[in-house]
Amino acid sequence: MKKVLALLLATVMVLSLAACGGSASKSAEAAPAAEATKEDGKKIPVIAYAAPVVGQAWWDHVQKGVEKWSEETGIEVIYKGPTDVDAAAQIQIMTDLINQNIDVLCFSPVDPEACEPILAEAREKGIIVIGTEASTMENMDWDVEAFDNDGIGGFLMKTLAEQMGEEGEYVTMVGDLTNESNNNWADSAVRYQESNYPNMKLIDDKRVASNFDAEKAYSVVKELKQKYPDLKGILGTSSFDAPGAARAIKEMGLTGEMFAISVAMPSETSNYLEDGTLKSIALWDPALSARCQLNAAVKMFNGEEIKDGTDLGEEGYHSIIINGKVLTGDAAIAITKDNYKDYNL
Amino acid sequence: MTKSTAWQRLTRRTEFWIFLVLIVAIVSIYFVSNGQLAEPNHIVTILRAMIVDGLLGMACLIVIVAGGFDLSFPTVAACASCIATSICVSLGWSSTNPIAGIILSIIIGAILGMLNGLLIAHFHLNTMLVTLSSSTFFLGIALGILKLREISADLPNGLRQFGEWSLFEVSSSSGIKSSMSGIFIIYVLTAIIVAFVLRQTMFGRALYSIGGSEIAAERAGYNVEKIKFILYTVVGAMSGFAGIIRVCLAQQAIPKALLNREFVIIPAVILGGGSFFGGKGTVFGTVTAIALITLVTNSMLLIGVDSYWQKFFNGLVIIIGIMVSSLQAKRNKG
Amino acid sequence: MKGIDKSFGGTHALDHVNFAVKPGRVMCLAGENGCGKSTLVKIISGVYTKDEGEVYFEDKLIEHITPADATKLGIQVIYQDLSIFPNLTVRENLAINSEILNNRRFVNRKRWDETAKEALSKIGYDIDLNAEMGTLSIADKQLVAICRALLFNAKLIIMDEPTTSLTKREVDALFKTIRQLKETGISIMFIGHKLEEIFEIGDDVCVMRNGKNVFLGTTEGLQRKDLIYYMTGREINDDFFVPENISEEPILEVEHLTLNNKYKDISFKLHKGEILGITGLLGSGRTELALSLFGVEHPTGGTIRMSGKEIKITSPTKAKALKIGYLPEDRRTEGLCMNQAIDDNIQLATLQEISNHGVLNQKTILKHAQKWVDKFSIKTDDPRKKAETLSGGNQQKIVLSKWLATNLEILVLNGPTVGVDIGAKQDIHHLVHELANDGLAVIMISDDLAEVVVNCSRVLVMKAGSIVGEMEGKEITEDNIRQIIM
Repeated sequence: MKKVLALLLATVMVLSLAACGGSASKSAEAAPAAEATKEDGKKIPVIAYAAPVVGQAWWDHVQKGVEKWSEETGIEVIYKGPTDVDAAAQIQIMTDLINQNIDVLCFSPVDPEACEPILAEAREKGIIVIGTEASTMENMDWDVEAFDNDGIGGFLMKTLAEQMGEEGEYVTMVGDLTNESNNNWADSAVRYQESNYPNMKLIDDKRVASNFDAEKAYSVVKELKQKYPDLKGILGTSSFDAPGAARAIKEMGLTGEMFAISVAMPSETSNYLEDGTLKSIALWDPALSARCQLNAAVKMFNGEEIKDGTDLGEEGYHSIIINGKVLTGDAAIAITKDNYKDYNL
Repeated sequence: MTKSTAWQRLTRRTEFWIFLVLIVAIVSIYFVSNGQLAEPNHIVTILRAMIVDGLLGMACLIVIVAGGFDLSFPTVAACASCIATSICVSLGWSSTNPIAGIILSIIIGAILGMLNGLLIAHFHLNTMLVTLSSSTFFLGIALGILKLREISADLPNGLRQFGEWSLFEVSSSSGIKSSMSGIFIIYVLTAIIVAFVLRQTMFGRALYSIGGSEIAAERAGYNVEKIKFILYTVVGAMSGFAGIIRVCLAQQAIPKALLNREFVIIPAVILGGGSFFGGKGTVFGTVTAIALITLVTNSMLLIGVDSYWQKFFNGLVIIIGIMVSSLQAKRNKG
Repeated sequence: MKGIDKSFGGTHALDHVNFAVKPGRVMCLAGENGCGKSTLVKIISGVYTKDEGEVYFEDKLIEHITPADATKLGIQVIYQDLSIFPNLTVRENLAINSEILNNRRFVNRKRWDETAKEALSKIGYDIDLNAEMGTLSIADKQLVAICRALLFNAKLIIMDEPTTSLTKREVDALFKTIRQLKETGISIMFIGHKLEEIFEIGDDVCVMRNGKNVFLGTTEGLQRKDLIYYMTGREINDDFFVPENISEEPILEVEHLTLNNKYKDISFKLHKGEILGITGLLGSGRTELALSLFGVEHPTGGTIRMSGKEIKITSPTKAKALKIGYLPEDRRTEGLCMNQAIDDNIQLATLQEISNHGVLNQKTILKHAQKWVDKFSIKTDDPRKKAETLSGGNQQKIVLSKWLATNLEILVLNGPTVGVDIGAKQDIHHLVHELANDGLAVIMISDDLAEVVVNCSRVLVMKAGSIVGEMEGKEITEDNIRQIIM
């Protein structure tokens, strides 16, 4: 028994050492603050971007987009983020950044609540603060969102309707029947169908739950098809819905006859996009959102007003809608067999 | 002393009643769904859906038989399988066959189980408190220290193909095809092995003895400490196995996948004749109860019960089942 | 086997104890609770190791012994809890020990069956091997445990207080078995503290007190009085209860009280200052009747009048309000909060009275409780200690004082001295006498006939739910009661 104990202790220690090695990584190597230079008599802002994490596909994609934006505009952006999704580390990075004489801080929070104090401090220093995926936050100038509930709901419906030939029966699927955003999306999708696709029909007001589990989504779809032989479409919302539904459709041999869509990651659905089980999945391009954050910041820095209908200069954000501090675009995109490779997400 | 007949003994067993409930459920769902239950397509789906819960149920069963209470087995399953899958991905193992991944998951599960076993057997700590805290601890290791993330597209091919292993294909009247998962065979084999160990080996009888009376077991000459340590190690290994099977079936490894599954599995084991006080429970009962719960969960849509009511019905089935078994127990006493 | 000779020293529990068990004889190890009997047993069976002294078994010096060694030598202990597996069948309970001893890996039903049958044949006992152990009566469980012990060619069987939960008839059956075993040359070490049993079954007696053995000899020629003296260290006489002032008017009148299937048509009167005994076999309805008077069971017919007024006792709270107290059969689960402090337990029923508008002060509780601790000479150095640290007799005193703290009119005692040793038993009896003479009406329910005879001024005998006899004063003798009861 003693030996086993020693062995276990050793294992735990090795694990935790490895962990320390992992988290004690170089996160924000403080770069010297770029002094405000002039070009064409115009002031150039010093911009920083605090990502929730670096070295992960989604945020690597954002970083590339930001770098491209830098090249295009000639405005340098200090892009930083912790190597792990860690709220405390991100706040540390934000603190370092606002002490570097920056004019603009763009961010996406790990923990919105926890970021509030440091962002309040930033604003006191006169720094322009622009977030994304932070719609509930207070201490910021603006928050940029790719879409609102109606936007994504309508988009999902439109995409599914195209695949179904604008006719046939469908059901909605959510991660959980109590999940607020999933249900809002599904509600707007149903409203969109009611006003645009009279030949489509929601079966028995059906809304099913995938429990955020592809395996459950799979068995639910099979059961639904058993019960409703005419079922033609699955309007999913959570990222587990489309992959699970696709597996069921493929196994039942209904590729091309039955369709499914949901917000999903290209990396998790590439095989189904490739073999045609899924025609498309819905997503937004986080790089575009980030670019809009930067564009909005520059506008503010230059004293331009941001109002309903303002063009943030990117596809899907040409006419934004303002709701409180939230700038909403219409930027959901369909990821298909042809373009999924562009999104290494 | 009157000798009880075989029939009397049978009807005294909870397993008998839960099996009856299952039959009743099958018959009534069959009629309410206008026979759709019997569609081969649906049968295949249900059989597949009970595999993971069934495997976990057996891990849970052997703890309950020994009078213990494990809340960590779903977490062990999720953690072990996700760690194993991550290792496979980074070392390129299991790209052609799943064996390495499965064995790895079993070993990691066993190690995590050993930790439980050590605390429970050696330090004589309360099983429920130990496993409650260890499950948080394990999840912490998986998410915090090892930074496990979801693996789906990168899932090693060996595991993926194992999950797609099809015994045969069936098609329903409307022409929908479904394949019968070969993993069901593994489930059946596991059930047979666990049943054999519980019934026919002294280790299995030791678990029942300890569950019946720990002091008596000690006095009878069992090394209770050693047996408990082995027990929790085995439970960990079984959980690791169930976890990797889930990864293969669902084609994705999610660290939080089986979170809170214990709240379905433990009642199921009790429903199947297990006792909170230990010493009772059989593989047959557990497998039957899991089948019942899987059947009901996966037939709600078929019989037209709205999704919003599903949890209600699931709970109802469990409550009815537990009432039946406790009435049963009362009648036996009187 | 010539005998065991052992002596221990060093520990306080056992102070150089010597005794011998002779082959084919029953040696009674007697003594009050806490005298070291159990420790001694654990040393013989290898659970504890001795500090000093020597143990001989069949003339061989035994240096170190483990439980497994003890089994191999032929020493078997039947513990008070019997060490059975309630969830397993009789067959398995019988066979499992030998299977473990033989290091078996797999189960062989046929071998188990043979082992079990062999075990039963040792005393010619017949029972359904498929029955679940937990469903058997305690007596049957005990016989199974004995059969199991006999499997190992037992030469010495130690029985730790085997009669505690048995009825008289079951005790007789057990003694028959013990005599049977004796005839085959097996030695029995019988541990107990009930005098009648010691005289009935014992050949030799070893009395222990405070870790020392104070008497060694045969039961032949031993006087009952002497044995009591050896056990308790004081003279104890049967002090019969002499009622001093029984009230004219009954305080309680029960008429035609009926509870379906439990008892029917029960009528009696209870006066202040008397101790009314209710006796009967297990299942005669005596406990249910007692519980009805305390509001736990609800009679389906009949009336109860208290001081002439008809009352309905619907709950224990109601009973308490009517100044009726109840001392339960099983004090561990019904009468005491075992893991709570002694003083808290004493004041449990009177918290409302001693609180200051519902706010409790620990000092007040302690002060009140100390009064009772002193009055009843409850043996504890600190009333803040947990109730479970006390002996059975002292625990029972706590339950009693809990009720007396409430100023009762009627006190129902259900088996007041079950599991209580002689000294404490007498203390409790004296106390009850005193209370009755102070004007309390007492109902004493007991199947200990000697207790009934000594304590009660009037006795009702119940059988199958009805009162079948009533006796008063000199009529009350054990023989008279036994005649009606059987």
